[in-house]
Amino acid sequence: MHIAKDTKMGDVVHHNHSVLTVMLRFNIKLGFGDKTVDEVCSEYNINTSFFLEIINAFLDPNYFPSKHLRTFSVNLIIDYLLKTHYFYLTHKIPAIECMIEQLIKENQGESDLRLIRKFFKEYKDEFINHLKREDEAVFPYALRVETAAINGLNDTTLVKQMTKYSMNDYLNEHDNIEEKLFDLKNILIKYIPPISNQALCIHIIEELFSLEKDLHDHSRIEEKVLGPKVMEMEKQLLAHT
Amino acid sequence: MDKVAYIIVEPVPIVRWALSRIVEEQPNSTVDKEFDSMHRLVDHLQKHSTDVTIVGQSILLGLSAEHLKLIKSKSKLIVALAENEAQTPNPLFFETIHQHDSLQNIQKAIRKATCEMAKHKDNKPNGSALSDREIDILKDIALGLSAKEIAAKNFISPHTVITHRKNITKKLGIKTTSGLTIYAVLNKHIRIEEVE
Repeated sequence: MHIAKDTKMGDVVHHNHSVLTVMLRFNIKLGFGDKTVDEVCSEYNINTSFFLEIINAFLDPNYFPSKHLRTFSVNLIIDYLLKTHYFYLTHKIPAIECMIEQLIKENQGESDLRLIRKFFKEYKDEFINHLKREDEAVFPYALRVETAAINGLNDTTLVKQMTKYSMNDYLNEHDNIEEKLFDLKNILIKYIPPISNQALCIHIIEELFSLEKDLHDHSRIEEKVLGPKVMEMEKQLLAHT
Repeated sequence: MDKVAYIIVEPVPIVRWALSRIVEEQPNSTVDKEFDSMHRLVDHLQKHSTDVTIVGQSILLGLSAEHLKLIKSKSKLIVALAENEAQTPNPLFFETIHQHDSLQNIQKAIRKATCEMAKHKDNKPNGSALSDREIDILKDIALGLSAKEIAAKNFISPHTVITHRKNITKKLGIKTTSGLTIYAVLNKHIRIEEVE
């Protein structure tokens, strides 16, 4: 089922409650009564068609690459990507971190479990660096390209950068941050000693799966939507110089 | 779980047959090979290893230190069939049985050896499917050695180290070095203090 603008927001959640975390990124609050997607979006000043594309792409991995999503501005796309980064840093990562702390606290006798905390810390550092690089280098560059595409190219340093280190290079170095996540899941599923609080372990595993899925969706937007869009602009800009 | 494998080396056919039968009758125990002389056993152990070796009386009498060392290195436990109780028990033997022992006592000794081995097998936690060589490489990876260092230490090429690592990753479902380290510690291949 694809969500349309006259679908009731409540039905969207009933269809698949994992969209709640996407709504959180758009700052949509619960309690939407019988309002439709369109009604809720206009209430929060959200571009309805953009919201629908993001939600549908989140629900259906085959929804990409959607030509429609590329019609949105780089600014709008980056705004969503930044909100997603914020969501990872303030919600997802701390939640997992907190549960791992509890796991260690409850199993003082199993001192080897400390390594899981260390491992997750390493993952977190790697992850933060990855997000920081996008926030500080990739996104500002993409925005500059868009500004030039709208207002004309009067920025010589940008021309230099486009020829030296373009969006394509950024995409090529888009490093894989999923490996450690994959390992952590397997360590918990296959190799952890039999601790008594299984519910806690299951909860951690569920969060890891959910983060993995979310990240996958996130990179798809970066690589299949933002990347090609900026590359197209670069091509047009360079053709005119 | 796999059955505990026994090798019997004893020249007298009827004694060998009896020992073999007793082993087969015990739970989780099976006879892998029987030999009538030490040199046949030596030939076999040069290429293979086993769980328990039962060494017969006359073999025991002429056993050189070198051969004993070989048996010890290739089998996890040794059960000796001694002539009489006066013979001093060797600390290298897990159990010493005697020709004049009652059948029950011999059966009990075999069961004890099987239990001891089963304990060892269970101690390989989670039934790890890694080979001994792979475990050696895994330990080195976990200790933070580079492929080049591991190659030099184990007298193999760096290429072989990489192949081992690929196989380890495939078997365990763990790709990163830190992930492999956690596995090595949780499975007691290395101690946490070595990596902290």
